[in-house]
Amino acid sequence: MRLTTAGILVILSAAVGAWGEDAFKYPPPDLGPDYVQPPAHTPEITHEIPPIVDIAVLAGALCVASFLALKLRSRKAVWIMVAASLIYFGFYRQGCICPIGAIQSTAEATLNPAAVISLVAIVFFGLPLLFTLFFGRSFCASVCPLGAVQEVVLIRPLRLPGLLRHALGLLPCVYLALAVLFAATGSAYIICRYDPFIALFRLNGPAGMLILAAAFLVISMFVGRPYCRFLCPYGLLLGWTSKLSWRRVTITPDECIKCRLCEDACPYGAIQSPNTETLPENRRKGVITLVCMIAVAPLIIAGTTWLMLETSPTLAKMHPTVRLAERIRREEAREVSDTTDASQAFRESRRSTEDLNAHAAEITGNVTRGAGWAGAFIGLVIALRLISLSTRRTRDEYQADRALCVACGRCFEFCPVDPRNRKPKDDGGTA
Amino acid sequence: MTASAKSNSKYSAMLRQAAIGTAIVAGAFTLFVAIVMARTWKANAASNPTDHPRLEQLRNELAADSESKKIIAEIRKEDLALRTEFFRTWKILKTGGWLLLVGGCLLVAAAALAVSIGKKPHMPAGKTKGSDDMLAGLLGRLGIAAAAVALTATALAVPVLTKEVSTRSEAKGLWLGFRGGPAASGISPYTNVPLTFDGIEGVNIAWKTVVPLKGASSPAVWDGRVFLTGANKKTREVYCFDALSGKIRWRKSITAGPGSTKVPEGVMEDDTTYAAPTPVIDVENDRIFVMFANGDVACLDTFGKIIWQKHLGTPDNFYGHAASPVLWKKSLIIQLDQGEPDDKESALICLNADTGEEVWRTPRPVGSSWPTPIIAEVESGDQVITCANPYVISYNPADGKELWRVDCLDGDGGPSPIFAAGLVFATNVSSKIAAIRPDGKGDVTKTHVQWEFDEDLPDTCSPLSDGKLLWMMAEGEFSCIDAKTGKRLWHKDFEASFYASPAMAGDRIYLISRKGKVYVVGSGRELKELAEADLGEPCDTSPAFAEGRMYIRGKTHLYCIEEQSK
Repeated sequence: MRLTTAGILVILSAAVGAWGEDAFKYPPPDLGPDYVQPPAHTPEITHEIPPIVDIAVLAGALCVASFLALKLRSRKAVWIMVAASLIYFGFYRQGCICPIGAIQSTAEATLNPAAVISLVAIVFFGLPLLFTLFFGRSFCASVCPLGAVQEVVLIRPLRLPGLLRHALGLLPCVYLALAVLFAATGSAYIICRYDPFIALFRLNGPAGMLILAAAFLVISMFVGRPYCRFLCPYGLLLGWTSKLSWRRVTITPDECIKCRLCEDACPYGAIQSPNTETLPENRRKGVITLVCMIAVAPLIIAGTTWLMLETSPTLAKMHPTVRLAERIRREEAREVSDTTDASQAFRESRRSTEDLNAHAAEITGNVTRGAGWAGAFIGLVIALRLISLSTRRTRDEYQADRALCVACGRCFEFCPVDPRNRKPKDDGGTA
Repeated sequence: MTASAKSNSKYSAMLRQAAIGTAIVAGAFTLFVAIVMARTWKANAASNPTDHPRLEQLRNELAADSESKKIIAEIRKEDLALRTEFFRTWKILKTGGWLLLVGGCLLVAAAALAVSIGKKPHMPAGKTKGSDDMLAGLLGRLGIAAAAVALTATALAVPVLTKEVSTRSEAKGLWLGFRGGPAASGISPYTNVPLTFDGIEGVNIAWKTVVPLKGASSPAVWDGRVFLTGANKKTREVYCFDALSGKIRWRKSITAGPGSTKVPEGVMEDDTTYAAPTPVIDVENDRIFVMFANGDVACLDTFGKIIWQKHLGTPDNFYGHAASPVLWKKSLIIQLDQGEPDDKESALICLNADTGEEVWRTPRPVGSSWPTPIIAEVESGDQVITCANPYVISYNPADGKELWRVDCLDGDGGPSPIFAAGLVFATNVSSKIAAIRPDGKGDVTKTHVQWEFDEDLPDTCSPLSDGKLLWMMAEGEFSCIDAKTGKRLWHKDFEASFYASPAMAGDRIYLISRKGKVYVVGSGRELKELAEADLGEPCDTSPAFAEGRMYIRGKTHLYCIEEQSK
């Protein structure tokens, strides 16, 4: 609770700074044809942060976060780090640049030879993954500002039914596939465009984004990190990487005594209970299930590939050129009776409709091919999840799920084996 | 329980109560601030100078008169006022944002405290239940299957949901030419038109926009656009106004050929004007047809692109050509009466609406005239009804052959005929009004005139009829006549001069005087004066109607009249 209050104060103080930075931009007045606008002066950038500082801060934050979660094992220390990240990466840097959005620039630079990418974007994309490979999801624990703001407002976490968790758990995979597809084809950076917390960090934005931020904040009061668990495409990548991590968060620093105190500690459903006493006796049944899942995997992949190919004409409309070509076609076919700024600009550009249509067709072709691959990727993820659910791994103690655990440190506080949780008794002994 | 424990428990209970109370108050406060902010945000958006209708209107005025320092000063003043208001509300929003943030934080902190205090501590449980991996796997597979089904449904539904619907099928507000269209009845299909308005005070005025060039043409409305023409001696223009904002979407200059530059003689520049014919709209093919006093006819698409244009020769008309073209199927029919009867220059001309090529031309035994021909849907087939001194003549629109004629008019005829209750009503100031049965052949003057009436006849305004009653406006004297018998039921002298033809919306008749005074009377057998309104400027044109709206062209502005929410 004290941590929550502290977090609130952090938000307030950070907001003060962020609002001070807010400058409302407004077009100059239109005073008619006789009025001569004075020349515009672009003020010098006085406080631009060199990219190396951003990289250094990120690297430092990841080091500290990893240390706090793995070595110090202090929930309070993780909280302080959450607050610091919220201030710096959230309200001060206003959520940009962030590793989640860097997925798109990286994908575009990788798949589109014409695209360029900055060193900061590459490092922001790769560094948290590298740290995860060594230390688990320490980025999610206390560096990511999106995770931090959700962590702060979580009041009364509700335990979601397993069926719902698995269903919603597919969304990050779809979101990742679409984000990469749109970025690689130059259509849009949807992760940035629909970042639910960017309006909060900037204390400004379109009404729709402010409402979205408010909605996510309200949900985050009762559902632990809804964006991180059910939308974040970078969280998906981190989860996979975390499965291979060299070190990771453990609930207990010593041998688990199975006291079940930690069972309710995790609001993210990442604690797995031991299963040695409930393993199925019928091994043959389990094997049949697994074989069935492996057998249907190609069908699933084919199905999602077909589905995405079917949807590709609609997906292609995310690209402004395709939209413009469609608009011009509708105007020419008299399906609409007005024009748009874009269509008027096109008509005044003297560019031919054939040229526009050819360009749009090329983009649509790229989107269609990309959509096929994206569909195959989604199908593969679904198939692997089904196969994973059909396999059994023995657990003889309470464990944090490698992919789902965000190293928030809540379970540390509940473990009686951890020496930090043992308070001296009045008579000098320990409890 | 020890005394210390009891004391702690009591303290915790009090603290929890306080936290819950604080959370409730903070929640209510946050909600209140959010509501106030939503309202302020609406006001803030309304005062945004980038697309404010008043500024847009002033910009249009400036476009028409770029030298006007008064308009420039007014723009500056208006812009400053809007900006001041915009930033005032913006400041309120910023303050509100702070209050919202503080309220939200307090709510979260208090709620978290209350939850924290009320939470029972974890206690070591009994033997571990263990994980049922079989059940978890089954639930997981079901969850993934459910998600896959939902995603598939979404993916298949998205193309359908995002399919853009053609606006053609949503075409509303069919007021497609002079007095509404081919029949030119002057009767609005919409009844939800404001009873009264004030163009000076802006009451029930949705917008008003300066029409760059003068004209006596009336508005034609279709699909969110209002079309007008304007002209002077040198320039002829077509205007497309946005029906919602009043902004001029496009304006197009018309010069149909070398003969276009010849200025027609005798045109009364401030009366008939160089742009008296009302535009005609072809909704099937998105075409607009316009005509000017110099004889230029043009066809444009809805984006202002000229499809074809044609110069019919400079009309020899001593007030200036005023008859609007009329559309019948693929034919654009023009009553081009000019000179004296002996000159044999008058003709009814049919042009191919797609190409502008002449389809047929029928000479007319009349001199200059000003009425617009109408299309009468008679049982035996459509007829083009024309009026000019001295004849009412009906033609077959397919080939231009004369069907029947009645010799009943005299003088310089301005009123157009109407067709109602199976009768053609034709009139002019110097003669009479005649109710003619349109089923004759040849000269039916003696056989097909059902009744005649010769008092208080109009010289410009066309009559109006709902099939039972007939109304006429003659220099301020407004008469109501029984359409079947020709007996006058009542009349009222408005002591004003009128050029605009009467128009009916529901049970109301709108009469607009030349000074812009509007009189609304009931359409019953008894005189019932319902309201008076003031356009705020002179008006010689007939109103146009759309859903909930009325468009009136004044001397300077085009007005959109709509009931404003209080």
